[in-house]
Amino acid sequence: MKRLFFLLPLLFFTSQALAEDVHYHVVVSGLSCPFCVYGVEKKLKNLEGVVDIKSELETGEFFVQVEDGVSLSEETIKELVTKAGFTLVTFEEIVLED
Amino acid sequence: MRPAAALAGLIILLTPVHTPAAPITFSTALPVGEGKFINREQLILTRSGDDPANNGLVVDVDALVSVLAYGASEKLALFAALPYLRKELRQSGGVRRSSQGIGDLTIFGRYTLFQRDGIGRTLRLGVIAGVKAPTGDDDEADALGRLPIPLQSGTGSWDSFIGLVVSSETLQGGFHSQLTYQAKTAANNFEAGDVSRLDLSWQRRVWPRALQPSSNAFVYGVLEANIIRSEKARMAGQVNNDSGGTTIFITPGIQYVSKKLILEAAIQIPVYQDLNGTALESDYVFRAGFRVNY
Repeated sequence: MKRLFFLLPLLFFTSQALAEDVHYHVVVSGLSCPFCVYGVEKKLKNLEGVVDIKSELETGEFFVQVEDGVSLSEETIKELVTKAGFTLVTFEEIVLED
Repeated sequence: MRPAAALAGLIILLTPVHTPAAPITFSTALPVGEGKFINREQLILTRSGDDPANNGLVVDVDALVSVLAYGASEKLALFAALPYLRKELRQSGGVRRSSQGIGDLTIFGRYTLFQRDGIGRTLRLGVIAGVKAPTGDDDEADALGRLPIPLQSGTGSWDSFIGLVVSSETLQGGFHSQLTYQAKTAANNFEAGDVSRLDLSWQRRVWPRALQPSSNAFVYGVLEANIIRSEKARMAGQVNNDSGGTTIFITPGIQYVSKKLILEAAIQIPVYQDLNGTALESDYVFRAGFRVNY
């Protein structure tokens, strides 16, 4: 249900803007407070092509929106999360159809 | 009673807080991301006025401690802490002596030995080691002559310390513990006693009661305990029997934590003081400050 809470705005935004927007769903473990979340968000925002990030502390989820034509690899995200001091659990690309 | 002798037991209380982490009075094993900076500023007001020798001795130490933490890697964090101190001694008969200035710089590192993460929780074990450099002025004087050693802004000595830090955190709160040993060296014909301390911190999220996807800030109720054992000091090679002892503080506090900012305040209340001779006892230590996540 909470995942839907995040996905609905993404879907709305996507339909309003570019039909080919790409999103990534990233789950990180080890996060226990908002101060920790910021450490991961900042690393993600520094990646070239990242447009927007939405996060939920309780589930450790990050929804990362990137520019058209930009792709992120699991290896890159894993290294980034590790450098932030946490552990990557899952990484998946979300395909939103027109 | 000489003021210097009576104040020797205070030295551990003047030691600046040396880490920007989750507990308010000590360090944590929580991460500082690689390449990330955290700045912590903490105001520490210390009052010691319970004079066993009945000389009406009161010592106030106000410290503004600036700490900068840097994540050298995902496991190694480096810290530097520099206090600005204002110290004042008052004694019956109208005697008043004071000093102010930059204190001693403390530099230390923390290495994470063990890490186990789960969704919304983490357990970390780290080691810390560091050194306190004599950057503060240790030769201040007033109209009455050279100030007693505990009133100097600096100690003049190089002191080192090692310790273990354990942190366990969940979304509801956390537990942190630190065990340290600080070895003192001599300077100005004075050697403070080595210090062992065990610090414990419990934190409980009190707001919001239930997490929402929009929860970007927490308020924690904090309860800490500090058990501090200081050995006797030596002056001119002789043991000072009016120094050293054991103090236990119970420290209630509150902490606001958002993504970029932490605001915190706590008061350390001495609930047990077994000090040697006429060493001056602590009344309280008040701490308030903030941390910024860069």
